[in-house]
Order: sequence, then structure tokens, then C-alpha cells
Amino acid sequence: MQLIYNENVELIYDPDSFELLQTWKGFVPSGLFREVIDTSLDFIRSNKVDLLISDTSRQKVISGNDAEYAASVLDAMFTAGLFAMAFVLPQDVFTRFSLKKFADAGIDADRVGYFNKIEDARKWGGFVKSAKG
Amino acid sequence: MQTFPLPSVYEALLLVMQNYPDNFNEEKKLEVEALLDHCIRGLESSSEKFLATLFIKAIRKHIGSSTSFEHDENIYLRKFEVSQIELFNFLINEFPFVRDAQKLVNSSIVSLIRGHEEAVIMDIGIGQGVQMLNLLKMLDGTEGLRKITMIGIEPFGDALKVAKEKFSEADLSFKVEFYPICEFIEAFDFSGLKPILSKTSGPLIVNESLALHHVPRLIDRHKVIQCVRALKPKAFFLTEPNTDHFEPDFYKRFQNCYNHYFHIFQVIDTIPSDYRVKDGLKLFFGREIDDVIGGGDHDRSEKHEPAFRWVEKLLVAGFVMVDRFTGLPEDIGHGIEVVFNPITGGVDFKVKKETVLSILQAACVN
Repeated sequence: MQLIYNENVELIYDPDSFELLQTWKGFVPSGLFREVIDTSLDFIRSNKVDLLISDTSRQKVISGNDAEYAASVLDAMFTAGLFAMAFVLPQDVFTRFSLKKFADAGIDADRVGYFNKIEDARKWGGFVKSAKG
Repeated sequence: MQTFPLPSVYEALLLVMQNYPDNFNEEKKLEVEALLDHCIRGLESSSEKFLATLFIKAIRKHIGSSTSFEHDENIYLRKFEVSQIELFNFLINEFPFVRDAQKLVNSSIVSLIRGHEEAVIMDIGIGQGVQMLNLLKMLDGTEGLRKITMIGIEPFGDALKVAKEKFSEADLSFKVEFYPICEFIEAFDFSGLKPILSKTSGPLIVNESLALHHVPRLIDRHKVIQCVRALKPKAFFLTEPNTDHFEPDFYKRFQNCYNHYFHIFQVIDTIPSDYRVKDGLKLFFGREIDDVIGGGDHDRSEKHEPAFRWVEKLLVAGFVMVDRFTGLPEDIGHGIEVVFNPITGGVDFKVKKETVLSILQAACVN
């Protein structure tokens, strides 16, 4: 199920695997970035989502404030029933710095993972779910 | 805390600098901010991050104050400030490039003066006379030496006053006659030296330490060296940073600049002093980085040139390079190697493969 689609981001839900996938592309304006984060949170609150994958491999830099904003809603996502969040690491040098800021926020570090490939992220998500479940 | 591989800050800086001069759109500004944010975290413990922050500070000077950034690097850097006088003393007495280069030049001058009753020393950019006072102290007790005529050219009058005071207070075995000349060297009329030089005898030694790179225009650098040559000195010593900050291409200049200060910072890290002074020293060099990176071509004052280009100017003016250095140190520590350079005929202060500072000695054949 496609929840958001535009030139910068696609938000898809797979009801079979209970996976919510954010796929970012290029430079995402702050307003749109936060809208996708908010929509993801709302969706997790009202649907069963085990794994949230944020594919940032083709994403360009985001502001430090936006990185902090994303980190600030993660707790609420876990409280709402999310098992784990996985990032597909960005190619872009500066996006990596943004993501590091997010990672350093240290929110439930066992349930957040960073991977080079989406397949690895999915595999890890399944493992976390079985371990916690 | 989760970890994953991060690029080096140099890699990121290279990308930032590629946007110079007018490609800093909103996205590129956010990249600068992301890098700054990364560098500010852990600034105290990483020399590389400290250096990168100084470069970001410099490039933001170019991007302009209209930009609203989340971070003001000045707030983070301000806490590292140390008083000018403390830094100055540290540079002269503890910083190996300055301390040991001046020591080497001074002992070479001493060996040229030895055996003469009188000598004339002209110091371009004499400042507060610290190096020259050390030289006079080294000469103290030299057998047969009766008088030193010291000519100090310096654009800052206050510094000259300090130098004058220091020389007059020095208790030496010979007489010192000091002629302070308050002038930028490129504006100085060398014919004004005639009345002084006509009253003196003995060899004339000319010295400049970290001064000639402040002469903004190449034509004036040539002119100054030619004027010195016309005085027929026994020796002309030059101490200059060995890097090309005269380079007009911004990106190449940035690479030269980063490389140069990266190696200086490596040395600062090895100095047995507290972090407060070391960070203050790094901040001091940050002002030079500000000038090289953030300054416009016409108002930059730190226009360093590599040693071989100073040699070219000396040769064009009719000097020859000579290897008459005395007291070449064997090991000054801090990862610095002091070696003779057969290409320039001078002495290099090297850190790994990078020559940070060069000392040249030129003489007249006729």
C-alpha cells in the first residue's frame, strides 16, 4: 500500500510482512521530511507495523534539527508497537553525518540497526522480531 | 551508541570547497552545517575536527552573514582563546618551528660575524625584536666584537618601541646602535639607509623571518629582494612557510592550506603543554586560515610561497644560494626532521613528507 509518493520520497506499507518502508531520494525539504515522519508515526499508531525501514541510500543531507526531530518521535513509534527500525546507509557524505547525529541520540539502540543493503535490514528486522516476540 | 563508517572530515571539506565561490544553495549550506555539527562534537579531542571547524569558519565568512545557521562555530571556538601575550611567548619559546628556526639562523649569523670588530644587521619585520635580542645575547662575549648596528624595519610603531627598550636594557659586551624604521618594507626607500651604512663598517647581514610573505604583490617582493641585493650583504637569511597560498585557484589553495596546517597541528599535538595553550595556538593559526580561505585576493595578507619560488626571486636579483648554516640541529623532536635541501640550497623543517618551513641563505658573489 502506497501512503506517500513524490519525487523525494515514497512511503509504502506491506501488510504481509508488517513493514513500513520510507525510500528517500535527493534533497528533501524540511517540511516534507517532517510530514513523512508524522505520517509514519500516525500510521504505526493505527496499524500493525513491526519493522520501519528508512532507505536513505540516495538521500541528500538533512538539517540537524530535522535529524533531531526524527529521533524525537522514535520513542513514540516504539511505544505504539513498532519492533525495530532499520536504516539503509546513505551514500552521501553529509547525510551520513546527519544520520550519525540521529544514531548518537541513542534511542533504544538494540532496536535500531544500520545496513548497507535493504535485504540485510529486512533479515535483521526478522531476527529482532523473533527475539523480542 | 550505534556506529557505522563515516567519511573523513577532509573528504567532506573537499566537497564543501568545490562549491566555491557561488554554488552555496540551501542544500549546500546544509552540508556545511552537517559537517560543522559533526566537527563540533568531539572538537577538543580531535585535531582534525578542530582544523576542519576553522576551515568552515573561514568559508562561512565567504558564504556571508545573511545565511542563518543552526550553529555559530564562534561560540564553540571562543572558549579556546588565550591571551595574545601568552601565545606570543609560547610561539617564541616553545613552538619548535619558530624557536629552532630562529636558533639556527642566529647561530649562522654569529659564525659570519665572528672575527669582525663591527657588523650591521638589518632585520625586515623585526617586530618586538625577540629574535634579534636572542642574537645579541648569542654574540655577547664574542672576542673582538665592539659594535653592532641594528636596523629594524617594521610597520608597527609600538612593536619597534618594545624592541628599542629591550636592546637598550640588554647588558652586552659590545655597543648596540639601533635604528628603528617604521615602514612597510615594500614602501621603504632603501636609499634612506645610506647615511646609516656610511657610518658603519664590517659585514652587513640581512634577515627576514616570516615577514616577506606579507608583501602583497609579486612585483614588490622582487623589488624588495633587488633592493636588498643592491646593499651587497654578506648574507641574506629568509625564513618562510613552505606552502603556496599565493595560488589564485581557490580549490588548489584550499588543498595547500589544509595540508600545511594539518601538519602544523600534528606538531602542536605533540608539544608537552596543556590543552588550553595548544588549542589557543590552533585558534591563532585559525586567523591565518581565515585569511587564506576567507579573504579576497586583494585583501589577503598570508600569501605564503614555496621555498623554490623565493630562491627564483633571489637568483633573479643576482644572489647565489649558499650552504653556510651553523648549528643544524640533529633532533628537535615533535616528529620534525631538519634537513638540508639540495634543490633550494636551504634547510627544511619537515613533518613526514611535508616541508612546513624553509630557511634560505643567499649571498653576493660580487
